[in-house]
Amino acid sequence: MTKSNIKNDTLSKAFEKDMGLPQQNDSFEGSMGRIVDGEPLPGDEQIVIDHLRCHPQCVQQIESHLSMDAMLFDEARCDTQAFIESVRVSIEAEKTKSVFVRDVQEAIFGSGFGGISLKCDLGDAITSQRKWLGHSVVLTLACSLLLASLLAGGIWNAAAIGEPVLVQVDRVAGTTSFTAGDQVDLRTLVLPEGTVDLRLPSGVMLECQSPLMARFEHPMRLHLSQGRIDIDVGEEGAGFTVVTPVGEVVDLGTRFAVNASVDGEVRVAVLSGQVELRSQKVGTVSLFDGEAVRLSGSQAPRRLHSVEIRNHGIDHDRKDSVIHSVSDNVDLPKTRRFYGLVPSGMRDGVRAFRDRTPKWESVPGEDFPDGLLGADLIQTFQTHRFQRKFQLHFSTSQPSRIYVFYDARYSPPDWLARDFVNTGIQIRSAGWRSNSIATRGIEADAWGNVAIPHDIWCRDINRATSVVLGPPVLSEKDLNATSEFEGVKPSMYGIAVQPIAPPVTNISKNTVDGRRVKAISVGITK
Amino acid sequence: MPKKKTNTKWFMEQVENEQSGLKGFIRMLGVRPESVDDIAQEAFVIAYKKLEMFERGTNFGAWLRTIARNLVRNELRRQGRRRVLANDVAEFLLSRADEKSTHPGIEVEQAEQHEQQVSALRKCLQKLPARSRRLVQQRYFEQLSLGVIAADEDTNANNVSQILFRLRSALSDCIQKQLGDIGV
Repeated sequence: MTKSNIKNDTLSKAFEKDMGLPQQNDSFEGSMGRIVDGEPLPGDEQIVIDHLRCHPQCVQQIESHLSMDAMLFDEARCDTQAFIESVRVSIEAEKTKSVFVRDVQEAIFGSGFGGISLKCDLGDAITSQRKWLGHSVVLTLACSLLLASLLAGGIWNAAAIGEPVLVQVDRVAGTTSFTAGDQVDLRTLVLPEGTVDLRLPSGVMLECQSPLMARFEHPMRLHLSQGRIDIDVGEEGAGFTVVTPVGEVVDLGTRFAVNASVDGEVRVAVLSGQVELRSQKVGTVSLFDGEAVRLSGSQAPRRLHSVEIRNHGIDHDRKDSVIHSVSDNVDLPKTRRFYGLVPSGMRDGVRAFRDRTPKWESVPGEDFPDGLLGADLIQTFQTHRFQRKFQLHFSTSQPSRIYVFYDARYSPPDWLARDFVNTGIQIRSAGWRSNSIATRGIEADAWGNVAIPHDIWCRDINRATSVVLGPPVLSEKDLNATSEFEGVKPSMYGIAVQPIAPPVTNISKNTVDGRRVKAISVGITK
Repeated sequence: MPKKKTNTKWFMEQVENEQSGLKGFIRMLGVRPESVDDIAQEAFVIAYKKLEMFERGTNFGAWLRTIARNLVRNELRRQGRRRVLANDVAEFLLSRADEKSTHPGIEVEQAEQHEQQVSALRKCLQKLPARSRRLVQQRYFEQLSLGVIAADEDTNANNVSQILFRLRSALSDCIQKQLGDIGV
């Protein structure tokens, strides 16, 4: 056998088993493989770290795998020159930054702003702007935010100082920097705390969430260096552009959100209509209603799985969502759809799905279920009801009750029947078109509405955990049965999560049919 | 060091020479693949800003790796830590890299072998059976998740991860043999 044949034989042996391997769940190699692949299971890290501490050969093994993984990714990328070019651009920016930062500082704070002292002397700022008032702490925070942005460079290198823009303050929460009803000349927009809604002369609405740092170049062009702004451009605002450190987001008649983080990543989500992303590194990319991407460095846009939707409906004490990291297993290359995550958003009339307009409503003649009010809501996709291998993943940050709203026309899928309890209470998704395939067999009610009834299933979990829900497919029983819905898939299920106070055993309650809601002592996922 | 203009030209040559090895080094510290470029870029920018501190005649790549180690260390101190794979594993790998840096010969040797390894890898990739080539294509070129690949191949994500594991091991062996053949 020649040397070449020996090598080929070795490679062939390694691959001959290919797909259909038996699972080795707890082995070091399995755990390490998943960590290297970036998709570890709970417990993998502990297994790996234990082996690394005790077995030197395991250290070499993981280093070898990471090194090989890096080489394969590097081979796969054809953008070496783009990377080198991005370094060149960055160091060119470094060379010019010192002069530019001084210019920016002088333009904002006046020529009295010293390069040595970073203390905020706001005397000039207060007299030169009609409104930039508030407590000194807030001003100090604002100055810190501004200075941090200035000193960090970023988009401040990109263009000259812009012109002041007259804005109307529409709504204010959690900040003393603005007062609702005021008109303000703004050139820089610094929001260290709270939220504020601003209306531009063109009718463009900006919903700003702290911590935020932005600057107007002119009324139709905003430079965003940090924070999230939801933008509704209205009828007159088409073409409104947000400039970010990684490119420009140009509106084509829409509502969209842009979120720039301090580590340079920018997230763009289209809530309705269409936007265009323009970047020297990745060219022009169109994003449509319901799509969201993450942009960073020279990488192509990547799907952003979930986007927090601001909840205008109810004011709750609880501000932060219990749900985190919503994702699914249908991450096809061109899929950019995002799940809507509405903190405290569950209420009568809230939008149920991202890709359809029906809303969650109470059953006629009944109140909206108390336990659901103010729960965090995940807006799912109707198109996923066709996916037989569908999985939806999310994490919860504290003990919670998880609700699944399953199409009441069908028996539940096995995973739902096994892990959840039917409360016996229903809500409905209302507002379907009468000829929708999802509502076949359902008559319009007395008000002319077509609505699908959903059983409310629930399960308690007593700690922060990861959750995996299965596909909304029919149970074996329904698959084998002939019914008027034959050939029709159940509507996609809905999800809501309500935080509960520990201990879990105390919050279990009787359901309408007398059974107790399950209080589960372990996480839902493997 | 020479003045700025000369510095920039010299520096960009170093970027071209070192970028691939530096990215591999950063990945070996447990950084997520999608964040490797960003951290490498940050390391180069910091190196440029502090170029006057670099002692010419010493190993530029080793200096870059020190900067990269510090960047990853900073990442591990941050609350979000989104750019590393698994905190404890990354911390372990970082401390291991710190140890290695006290024996610069090992690191330099690894860095010098990098180009030859890449060249050997290309030859080994050509020898892959069709199904394995397809897996490399899906995972590394199309950057599909394990779940999506699994759905395509009618298996589960765990199996795909195991096959990838075996694939990397075999490629690593193949590279070692290639390098052995040419006496490295």
